[in-house]
Amino acid sequence: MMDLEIDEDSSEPVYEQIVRLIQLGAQQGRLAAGMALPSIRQLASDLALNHNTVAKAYKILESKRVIRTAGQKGTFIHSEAASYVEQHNQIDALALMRELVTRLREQGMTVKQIQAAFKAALTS
Amino acid sequence: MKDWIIFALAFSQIVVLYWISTRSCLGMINKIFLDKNAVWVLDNPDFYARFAKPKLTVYLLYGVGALWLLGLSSIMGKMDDTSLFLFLGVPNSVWQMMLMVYLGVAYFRIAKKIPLPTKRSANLARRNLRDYVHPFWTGLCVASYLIVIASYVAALTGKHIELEVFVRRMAYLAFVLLLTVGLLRYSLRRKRNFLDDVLGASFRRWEVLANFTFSMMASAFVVMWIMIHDLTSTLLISSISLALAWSLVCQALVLYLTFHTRIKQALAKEVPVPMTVN
Repeated sequence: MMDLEIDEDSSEPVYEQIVRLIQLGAQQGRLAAGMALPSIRQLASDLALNHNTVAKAYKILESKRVIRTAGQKGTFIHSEAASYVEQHNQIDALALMRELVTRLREQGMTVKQIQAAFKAALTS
Repeated sequence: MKDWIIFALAFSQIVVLYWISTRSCLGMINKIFLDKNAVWVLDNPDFYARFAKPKLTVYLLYGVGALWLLGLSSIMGKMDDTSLFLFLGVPNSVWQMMLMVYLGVAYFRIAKKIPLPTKRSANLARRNLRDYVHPFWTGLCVASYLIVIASYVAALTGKHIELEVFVRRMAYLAFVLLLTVGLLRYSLRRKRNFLDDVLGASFRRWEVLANFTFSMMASAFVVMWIMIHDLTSTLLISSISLALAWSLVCQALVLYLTFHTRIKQALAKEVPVPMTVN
């Protein structure tokens, strides 16, 4: 069973760390579809966090369809969590790249130069 | 002959609980709290040296054990069921209460003084009772408690028992339920500790199952046993047999934990080893 490690010294907020790690687990198959997740109370207690922090992370994951809550039965990994995570990753990557390309174009770089820089970055 | 067997078990119980296992039981409690932040403890070796191996309480328990043995030796030759029952049940309960008190004191003396580690981790396995015990068994337990309550209410309204007996039994039932549910909740909700690391991930499963069996199921059995005695004046099993069974279970469990090689090795370590998971 997967362990979730958070770092309070990190610049990334704790709830985002939880979201990222659970997404990663679902994408890599370490958290299988339909698997039961700990309750907000259990995870908050184990990580010595405020309940609201974990609740916020779970809410984001639910909105991204990585997890689904089934009332009293608990919280589970969504049956199509891996594909939703992949879709979200692609959307995020596209947004980031668009932003970067815009900045590079503003600096006067040509499409060919940007492509070469990307190639170099990917292979380095 | 039977009296001598009970006497021998009462004797071995005092020796096992108060003498043989004392050091390891108290050491385990301290270790659980010291593992809260192994990195901080490593930076504070004085703190670790002070609490890694308890001394004063160990001697206190040795002393109480010696007093129990003196008391037990005083009834040698004039043994009856009541005194044997007392020397089987009371030292065991007192030992458990002393450990509970020590747990509370150690929490404030050790755990409260250690800061939380900035890097913390948790396992993503859900820990509900139904993840360990089939709902049928939980339902059976609840049903048996309800049957007991309904039977006592019916017996009271039918004037088969006195109001005083009814109140006493209901108070006992409430106490048993609070204790057993509390124990079960603790074993489900407690954070991962060094025993999980030493004995493996299945330790909690065994802990929950043992708590469920010995607390919920056994308590339901004892309550029903008392009820049958109250309502029909028949003793299915003698109270001394129940105390004997409980004593044997406690002694076996404590000896297992005391002489477990990996636990012994973990307790003997001079420096704390950071746990893999909080």
